[in-house]
Amino acid sequence: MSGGPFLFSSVPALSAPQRMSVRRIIRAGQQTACTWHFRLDEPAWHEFVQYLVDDPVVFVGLWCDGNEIYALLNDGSTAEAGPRPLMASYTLEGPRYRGLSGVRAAAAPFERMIRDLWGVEAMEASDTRPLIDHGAWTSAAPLATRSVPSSPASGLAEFEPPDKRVAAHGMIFGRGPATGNTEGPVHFRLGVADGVIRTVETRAGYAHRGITARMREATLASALHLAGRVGAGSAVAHQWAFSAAAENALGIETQRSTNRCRVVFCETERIATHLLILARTARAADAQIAATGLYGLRERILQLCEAATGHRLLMDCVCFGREAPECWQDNVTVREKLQALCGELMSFSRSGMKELELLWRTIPGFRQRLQQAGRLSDAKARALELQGVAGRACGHGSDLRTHLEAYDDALFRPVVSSGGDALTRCDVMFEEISESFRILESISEQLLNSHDNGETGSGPAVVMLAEPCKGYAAIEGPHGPVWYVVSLQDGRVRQCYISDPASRLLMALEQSVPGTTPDNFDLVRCSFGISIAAADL
Amino acid sequence: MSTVLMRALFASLLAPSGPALPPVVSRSPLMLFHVDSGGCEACGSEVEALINGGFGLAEAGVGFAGNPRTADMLLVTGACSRMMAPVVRAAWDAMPCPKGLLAVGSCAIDGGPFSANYAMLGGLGGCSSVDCAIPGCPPSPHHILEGIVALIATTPFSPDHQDGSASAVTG
Repeated sequence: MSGGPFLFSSVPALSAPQRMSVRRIIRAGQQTACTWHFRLDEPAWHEFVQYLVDDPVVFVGLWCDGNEIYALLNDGSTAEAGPRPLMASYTLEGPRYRGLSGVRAAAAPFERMIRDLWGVEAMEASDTRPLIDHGAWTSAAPLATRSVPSSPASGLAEFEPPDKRVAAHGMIFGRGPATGNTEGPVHFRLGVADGVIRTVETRAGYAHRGITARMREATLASALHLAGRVGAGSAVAHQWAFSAAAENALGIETQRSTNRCRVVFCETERIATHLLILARTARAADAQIAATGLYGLRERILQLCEAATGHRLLMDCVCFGREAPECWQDNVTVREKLQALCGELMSFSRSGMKELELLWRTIPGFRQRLQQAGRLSDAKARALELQGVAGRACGHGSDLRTHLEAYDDALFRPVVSSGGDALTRCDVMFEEISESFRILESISEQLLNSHDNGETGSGPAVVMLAEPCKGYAAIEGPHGPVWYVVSLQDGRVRQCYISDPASRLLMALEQSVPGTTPDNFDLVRCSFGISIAAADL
Repeated sequence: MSTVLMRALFASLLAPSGPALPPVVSRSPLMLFHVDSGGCEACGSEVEALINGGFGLAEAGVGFAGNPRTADMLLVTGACSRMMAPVVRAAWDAMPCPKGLLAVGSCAIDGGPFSANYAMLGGLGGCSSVDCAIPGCPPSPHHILEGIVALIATTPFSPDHQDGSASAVTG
């Protein structure tokens, strides 16, 4: 017997066994050129999945490149921590791998997408249904090396068997993908019995455009353009996240003025997107007067954006490595324009917002209708590791903005509430709009800061590396955190992995709708603000 | 007189057989049915802004239908995914004749950033005949409204469209 202290003669001291953690398992893997990416062998991958059950790391995303499976975690020990990425990868030795959805529910849509795109199946997965490939594509597993032409689809959608009570004396209602409304295309199959919705099944994939495939080998400019088209409601967040990830990969430090401009774009987008979600929710709840006011205010904001930047939805305003696109010419003017935009936004929008909030609270029966509609329990929200507005409405205080350097100059407090129903989500959005105005107010004062006037706004020179490099970024978008991991080589994108909150929100919707009356389905769906385009990629 | 009305007039006059079409001049305003055929949702949100943002849509004689069976024109946004092609086709088939097709946004016209691939058809331009195309990524509500009003104001009648079936989307 050797080693360790002895207390009594030859009896060794009892030492507490050091608990294995996911962090330690991953860090014990093979280190790659990237400091936060480790390769695991098969036993280590299995162990990693096993310990993921009750580890505090936050699941971010799961992707594939045909050779390896990549799992990205936020090693922040709690959801409230800032972005500290930890990536584990596993080299595929066949068409299967140990899946994560059995221990992390949020991994399910990623696993289903990997199967549809690459033909690689997750073992012990919680959900094995196709996600986006329903037989309409030209090829099966289109991104795989050995992709084969698709066999003709039957034309009939396949769904899970209905709930027993629905089968006995209920009805099935289909909704979408073309309803005449302007939300993205998706089909919901609602099982209704005893006057309430008992089951919801989502059929997605109608808006799948092949973003992952299009990103490969794209130039930085075209990839940035594409990032802005993942989902219109969070175009700025996606373009900022992509730019920041590429800048991280190339070791570029952005100037403070650039970050401030991006914050102005991002917060303006948040206000506009929240207003759109609130307006849709009000319309779905038959509160037309509130909907009209919210749509009107949003329209005025978009017109101001167009006057200041030329883009109503602020698409393509974020520029790689600099504060504004080259065509904007004089960067001092850019800052002045943005400062004027902030001033105008605050001068009329704040007062307009207060009036609308008052109206929102006083429409008879409106709040009562939203109350308890589509309630998501805290346990379910935690199981989905839900963040963003929907997560904060369930008591999760995660908001990446509190950790981002770009927000150092901004004064705001993260909005957290409990309740988890449609009313709480709407209240959180109203509060967040107020906080975004506060951010714009504090940032606008700094935009023309004399200490930073030496910054040209054109940013540092961008040197493209010939060797592969990898970077990450996470930005708090209107719906929640948007993560990008990009791999670059020779000035082109080799791989781009995207994690948008939309897929989790879709799962949250499925779990929160049962028990809701059918006439409240639309308002519950709208209150989550799900971007179908971002979920389908 | 709008293209739709002109087409209806010609169709009712030139139709070789079958019952005469109802007098479409009584159909007012011009009703549109919107289908997002798979894009980034920007064009859809601009269409939504057009409907709700106080642009005087009703004054321009334009309305939006909740059902293709009561629509004169199909307004398509998005680059038309292969999954959505049968849906667009079904909406088109459900519309009464005469009918027209309106492509809003670069994606709907030629795919824009979403050219044809395993999942996308790359817009309506390659697989159907479009009556009115409004470019932009996304076009603003003003541009969309101007396009619709121009369509109403001008009458670029095409003989191909006499039976109102030339615009069908083929997957």
